[in-house]
Amino acid sequence: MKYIKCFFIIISILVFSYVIIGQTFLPEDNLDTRNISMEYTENWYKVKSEGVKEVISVPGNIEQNYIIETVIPDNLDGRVTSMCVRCEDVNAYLDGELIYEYSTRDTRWFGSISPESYINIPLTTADAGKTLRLEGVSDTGILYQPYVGTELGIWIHLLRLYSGELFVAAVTLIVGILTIIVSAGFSLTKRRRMDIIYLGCGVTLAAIWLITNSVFRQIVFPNVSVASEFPFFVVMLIPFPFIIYMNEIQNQRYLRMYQIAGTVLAVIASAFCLLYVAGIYNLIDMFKYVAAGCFFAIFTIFVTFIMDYRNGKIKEYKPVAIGLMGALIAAIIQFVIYFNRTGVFRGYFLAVGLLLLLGGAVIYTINNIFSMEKDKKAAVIANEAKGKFLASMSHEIRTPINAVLGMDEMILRESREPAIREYALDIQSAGKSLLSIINGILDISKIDSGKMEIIPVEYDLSSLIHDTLSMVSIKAKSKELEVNSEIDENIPSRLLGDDIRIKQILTNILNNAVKYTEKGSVTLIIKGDVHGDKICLHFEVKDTGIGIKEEDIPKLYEQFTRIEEARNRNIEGTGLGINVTVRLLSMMNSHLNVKSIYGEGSCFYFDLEQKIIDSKPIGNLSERIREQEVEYIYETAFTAPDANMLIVDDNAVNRKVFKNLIRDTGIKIDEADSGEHCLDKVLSKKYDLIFIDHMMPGMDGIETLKTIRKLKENKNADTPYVAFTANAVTGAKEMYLHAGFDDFLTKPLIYEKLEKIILKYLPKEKVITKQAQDRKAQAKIPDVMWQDSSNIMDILNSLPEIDMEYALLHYHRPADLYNVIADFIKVIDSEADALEAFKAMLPDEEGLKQYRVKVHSMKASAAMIGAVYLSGMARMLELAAINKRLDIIEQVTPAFVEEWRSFKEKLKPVSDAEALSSDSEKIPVNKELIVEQMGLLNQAMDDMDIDRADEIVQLLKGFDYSAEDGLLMEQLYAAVSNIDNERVMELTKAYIND
Amino acid sequence: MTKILLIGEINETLQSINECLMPYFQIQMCSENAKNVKDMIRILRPALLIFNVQDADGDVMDVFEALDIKYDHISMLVIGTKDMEQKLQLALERFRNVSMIYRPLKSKDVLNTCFSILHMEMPVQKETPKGAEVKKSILIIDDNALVLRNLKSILEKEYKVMLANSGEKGLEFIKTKNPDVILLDYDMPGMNGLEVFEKIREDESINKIPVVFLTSVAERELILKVLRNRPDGYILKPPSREKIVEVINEALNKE
Repeated sequence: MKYIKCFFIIISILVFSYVIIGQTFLPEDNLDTRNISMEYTENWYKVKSEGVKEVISVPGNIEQNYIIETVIPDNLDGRVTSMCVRCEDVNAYLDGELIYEYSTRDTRWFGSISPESYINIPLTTADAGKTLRLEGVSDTGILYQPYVGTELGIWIHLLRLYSGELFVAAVTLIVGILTIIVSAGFSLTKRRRMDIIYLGCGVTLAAIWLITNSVFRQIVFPNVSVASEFPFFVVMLIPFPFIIYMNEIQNQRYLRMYQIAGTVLAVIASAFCLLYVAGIYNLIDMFKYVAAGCFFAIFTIFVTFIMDYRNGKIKEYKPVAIGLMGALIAAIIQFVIYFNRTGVFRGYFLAVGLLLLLGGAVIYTINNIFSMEKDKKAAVIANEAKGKFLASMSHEIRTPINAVLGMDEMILRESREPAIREYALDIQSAGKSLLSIINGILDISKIDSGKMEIIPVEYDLSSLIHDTLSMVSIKAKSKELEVNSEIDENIPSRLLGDDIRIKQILTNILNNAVKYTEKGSVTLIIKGDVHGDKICLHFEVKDTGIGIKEEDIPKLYEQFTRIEEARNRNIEGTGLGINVTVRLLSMMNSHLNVKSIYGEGSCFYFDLEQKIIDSKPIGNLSERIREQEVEYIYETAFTAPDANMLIVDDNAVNRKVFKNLIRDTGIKIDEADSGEHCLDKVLSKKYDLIFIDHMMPGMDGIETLKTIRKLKENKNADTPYVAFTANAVTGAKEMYLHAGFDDFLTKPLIYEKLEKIILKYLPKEKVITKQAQDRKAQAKIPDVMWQDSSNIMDILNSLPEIDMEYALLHYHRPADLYNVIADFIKVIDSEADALEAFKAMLPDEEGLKQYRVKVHSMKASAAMIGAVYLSGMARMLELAAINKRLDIIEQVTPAFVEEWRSFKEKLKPVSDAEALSSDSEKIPVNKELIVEQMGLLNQAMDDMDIDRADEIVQLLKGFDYSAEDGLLMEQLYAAVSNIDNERVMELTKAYIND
Repeated sequence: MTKILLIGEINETLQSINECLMPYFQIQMCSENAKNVKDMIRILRPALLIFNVQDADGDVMDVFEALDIKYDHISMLVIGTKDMEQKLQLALERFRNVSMIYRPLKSKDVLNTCFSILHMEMPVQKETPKGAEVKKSILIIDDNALVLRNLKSILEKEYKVMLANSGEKGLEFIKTKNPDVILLDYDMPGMNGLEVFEKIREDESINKIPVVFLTSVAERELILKVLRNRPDGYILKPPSREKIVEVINEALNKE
């Protein structure tokens, strides 16, 4: 391609050189003999008064009212058809006869003089010898050279003379208008102010000035009078856009100066127009004042340039400054020329100056655009870097905080000194606050950098609500606030959405409500609108708190801004929580709304659309929640020692719970674990009241009752039957009544309801009401919510060795602790045996290691059941093992093991309760089956499928073993409890080979 | 939970039916032996018997014969092949609630049939619409059975819980079962927690899985040592439910 480019350049040069040389050196050959134009500048006289003539030079100066004469020569070219003169009002006489008149007095509104125009006075050689007299008015004082020739020839001549600058003026005009259009377009589409539009206006005005001052205005404009006024108005207008533009470019640094200049200009302009319109002065007379105003503006701009040069700010807009300087200087020169002209106005300077200016401004604007793009890219990169930094810092930040909180937790667990514990609690609360602030910041930076994702999963709405409310209830209770809920019963139970974020949002709003409410209540309202497979959930949190002022509401949505900081200083928080909430909601196409009355309360609400997975309604959640919050005050108002009741439920724990609830009443309770068993019992004994669970394998509750009703020798034909069910749907009552039950109870069992039913159906004579005097308040359970209302607490409370406060700190429900204790009991013996075996191996290294590991494990187990002192002893032994203090091990281990084994007795209430559950009948041993199941058991243990292993154990327990085998089986059960695969393998092998 | 007894030759087919039904029912397996089956029924008291018949002339016939009328309220599902139809129908005439389905079929078909026989509603499918996720899985590695069982019972509602009672087993399970989060005890016999942790971080294929440490009280040096290795979280034993769920959620939500 290089060669092609070279060729192009060379040949272009050649072509252009040829044209230029040719034009320069070749003579004119545009011979149009018909058209001529010649200057007629000789023989002109000024007629001062009658008879007095004076020679004048043409072109030259004349008075305002003038009379000039010339005698047409004989040698006038034959082709001449007219004389062309540039003048204002004029009458032309040839030998006294009026041959031509020029005036625009009838075609203009203002002014007293006609505009300068080229007029063509008819003249031919036939007029040779006649006197041509011109009587006219001139306010310019200039006498221009006349031409004689053909009209066309004269015009061609004029065109050649002045077309150059007209061309430049036209180009300037076009560029000016284009600038206006493009910048207007930009500012509309990009919604950004484009200051260059003012520059475009200024340049356009200047171009118009040039054009309307040019000789061609009489061709271009129909009404030359108005066109001739234009230049004056242009000069009046032109400083404005320039000072507006400069002000913006200089970032309003010199606003005052430009305001003064602008005001001066405005005053001059108004005076100018008014005086002209009123006919008091001519434009040209006032022109000098307008020009003065212009100069003043130019002067102001120059001053700002100097100031910016001194303070270095001129660098910001250097191209514009240079261009403008050039243009202004050109303008000054142009003005000077204008005022001193002796001939036709030539506007070259200004035109060139304007082009320079525009050039400079365009360069400046383009530079600006480029640098803005660069800045934007840099900002995006910086933001990404920030995001990455924060993400990696999150780990660095959270680790030491976790260390602080962890150590603090250890202090709380180990120290018994109240003062120390208080310090530790303070540390904990401060540490948790810190952690939540950091999490808030990290969440925001995650959202900012676009890394926060909304991940929809299936979730149970009722458990989401339950978890959220329970977390808030604790804080609310401590402030003695009521927590209410109004939840639409028909909302589907299972939905698709990001439950973690929804929980975060709800928790945040509820926590805020609690924080900013001193007395009264916080209410959660949830309603739903179903459309097809989607539901629009409406969440509302109302509170009776301090409220928010209307003008403060926008602040809610700002990061890090807290409202009424002075007043709310003692309320914790950084203002981050709501911000995260707002942004999470907008990520889920929702919006947080606030209504508030200052001093009375607030309501925060939002809508969320979720897809429905299971449209089964959640039922009366509010009631269930309320029931669970009732502090359990247990008191029996009656006893009935002669009454008999039967409970039918396949779940042993439920039966245990039931029995314990009733224990204080003295009612005798029989149990059946299946429909079939129930049949047996019903046939053998008359009961006063029978409770049957609905959901049972084999025969369910309803089938059982039906079968009972069919029995011939039914001793319990008249006994009331009550159903238990976990199903709280509408229509349940009808279903049970229809099935033949007298009543039903929902699980979880609430004592008051049970009591009510018992009192309703027991024969009155068997009930002895007590004086309900001493209300035995149940052991105060620290703010823990539990789902099985149970009297497991009773059992647990009776254990002196267990530090209940410690234990319940770590379990969600007392039932969990109960289960752990039950598991613990199963392994008491095997653990103690193992420890003793390892001790016997000492001082062997391996033995010591095994001992240490085992006693460590026992320490953990003891801690899990809240046996704090037992755990402490284990810890001592562990340290001894680490430090190879064999003497301590020797001395203390026996005492420890004794204490450990003693727990078997101490935990008896639990093992008794557990034993009740396995009173089902045993069947004779079926070795083949047992061996088969043991094979499956080993497989399950290998897979660590504990559930399967436990189930097989349940099965194996159903057999009636010999004493010897029984012992082996007990060990096997213990090994499964202890998840000890090797031992299980060992024991099963032993059984098989037996 | 509803109990089902699965009767047949204990082979892969039976195991796969077992696997499929396990999440929804309490299942026990047993071979086609009349006495065994009767004893199983007595102990287990199932609501449904599933017979996987491979040989219509085999032991299964004895089982049918031996089944007492006492058990005819238990529903029965017989899986066989079309050519067995006549024989089976004859043998099972006297039973009320018998359903038969024929191979070839998928385990899922068995599952669906079970639901309909037991008049139970199909719970929501696990293959959920795009974007929805199944429960996250947690592997707990600890040598103390109490801890394993307790953590399992706390966490199994929200997560799929897998257990391992040693470091070695834990590492094996990480590779085969691919958990989303690992809960790792520090002090264990054999390979201790730190060694396991190092091994996890060394292995490219598994080092992205977040690891949360479980440590006991009163081991300050230990905690510092653990923290120095930058796990994704740590929990003091015995753990409170809220704390565990919180730490696990945090570990799962990290990028």
